[in-house]
Amino acid sequence: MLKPLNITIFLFSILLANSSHSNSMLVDGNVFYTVPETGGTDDFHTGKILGFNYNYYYKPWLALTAGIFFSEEIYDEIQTDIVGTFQASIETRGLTLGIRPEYHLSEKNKIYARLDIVSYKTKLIVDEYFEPGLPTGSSNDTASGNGYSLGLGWQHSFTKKISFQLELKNQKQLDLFDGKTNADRVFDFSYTGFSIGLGYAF
Amino acid sequence: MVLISNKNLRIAATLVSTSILLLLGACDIEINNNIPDVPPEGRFIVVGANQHKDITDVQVGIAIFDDADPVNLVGGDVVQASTSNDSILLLESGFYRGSYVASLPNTSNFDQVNFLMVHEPLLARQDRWYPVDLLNIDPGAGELVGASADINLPPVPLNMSASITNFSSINDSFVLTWAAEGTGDTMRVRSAVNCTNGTANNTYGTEINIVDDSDDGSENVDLNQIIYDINSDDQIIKFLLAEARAILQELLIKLSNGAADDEFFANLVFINPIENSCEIRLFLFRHRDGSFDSTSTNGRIFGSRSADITLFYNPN
Repeated sequence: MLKPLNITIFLFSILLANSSHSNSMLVDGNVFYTVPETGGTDDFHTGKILGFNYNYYYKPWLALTAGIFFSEEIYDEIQTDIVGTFQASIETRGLTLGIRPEYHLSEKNKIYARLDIVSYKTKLIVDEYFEPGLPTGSSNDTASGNGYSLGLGWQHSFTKKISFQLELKNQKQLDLFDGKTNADRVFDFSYTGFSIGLGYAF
Repeated sequence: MVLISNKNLRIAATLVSTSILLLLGACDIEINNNIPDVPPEGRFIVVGANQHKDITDVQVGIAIFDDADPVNLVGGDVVQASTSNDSILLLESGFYRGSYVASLPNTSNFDQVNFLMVHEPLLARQDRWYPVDLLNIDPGAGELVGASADINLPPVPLNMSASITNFSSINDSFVLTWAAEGTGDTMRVRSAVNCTNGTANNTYGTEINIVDDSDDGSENVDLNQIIYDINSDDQIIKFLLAEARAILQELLIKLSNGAADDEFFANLVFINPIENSCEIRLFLFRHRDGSFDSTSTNGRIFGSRSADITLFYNPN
């Protein structure tokens, strides 16, 4: 059975093969400021995810996009319970494939949406501390899977080639650790925030 | 020490309060979160369990001290309370420093409650958001694992009633009666009082000194142990402190399905009870001492069952 990412790659290939508008491409790099959330008792600090996208304009108003992203280590708040004091952190990276429809507001300004399928690899790290006299410890595991990303942005062109973009974005990484832990322990990560970046058209 | 509360996180959160000193007229009242009468040296354990009439949960709690300092249960060591049918881990922090509490289901109304220190590194972390089975840092069982204690709950006080239920003077007294069991248990009488002048409330609890604490079915109670005059220098009232306060606080919350104020017994304000209308919930506890598995264990251990009636005070 085809996974969502494979389907996207397949569709992406068909669109490229039938492309009639091949005189415009854009590469952009963005810093995504986000607070990851699982919907549980986590309380993550704001972290940064660096992303790079290649946008191929299939139509003047529609680009096919492929991207890569990777984060810094993003820390959860230190928490204490009956067992001890612990702090979780994550590092995530992955690939995106999707589309970017645009609407031109003026010669230099346009708004766009970004709809991506995401393939992620996320490392979860937990450091734990007990009472004095007991050893501290650290443990980590990595989850891989798929998800999706939705964005809404504004692009302003400084020149014909250089542009600035501001984007509101939500990335969902689905079913982390599915198959590795109990079903009731499987969770999703939601990364909500905004990104700022620069684009280069050619 | 002690007690109760179940999944209600709101309760757990509010039960962690700091010491406050309230000056009420002639009464100096210290309400803090230290369990009283803990000896300065050696290990001391306080264990309690109470089941209120018509409530199917037993409120259980435990606190452990070394040289008067609370012993935090860490690394997955946790106390398990159980009846023949059900068991529960005491995962919530109680009002008092170092105390752990839970509500143990007891729909079959068993009398025997067992406490056992176990090492459950995964279950103790069950409320964490990440998969604790994959990221488990286990320092191993602590020295207390395996220690146990038993409590035998006495019968619930039945047919509790007061000879008078409406009062107009704090000089009144009444006879409290209940169905005596005559099994050697001791009785405790406590009140939860809510006085109001229409705009402000004064809520507090009192421990009522009874001349004879034996389970004889009858006790004379003076109302001035419940309603007081903040302007009087001659107080005999004894405010509710320690584990008795914790028990009653949780009982009120449970009996009101969470509607009672978490800080009911700390809402001491300057409206004078003697001059205002007051609702009195009078609680009768039948107490029975429990036992630790090791005779060398020093501490307090008891089980109780309780019932309550409502009385009214109106000075006019």
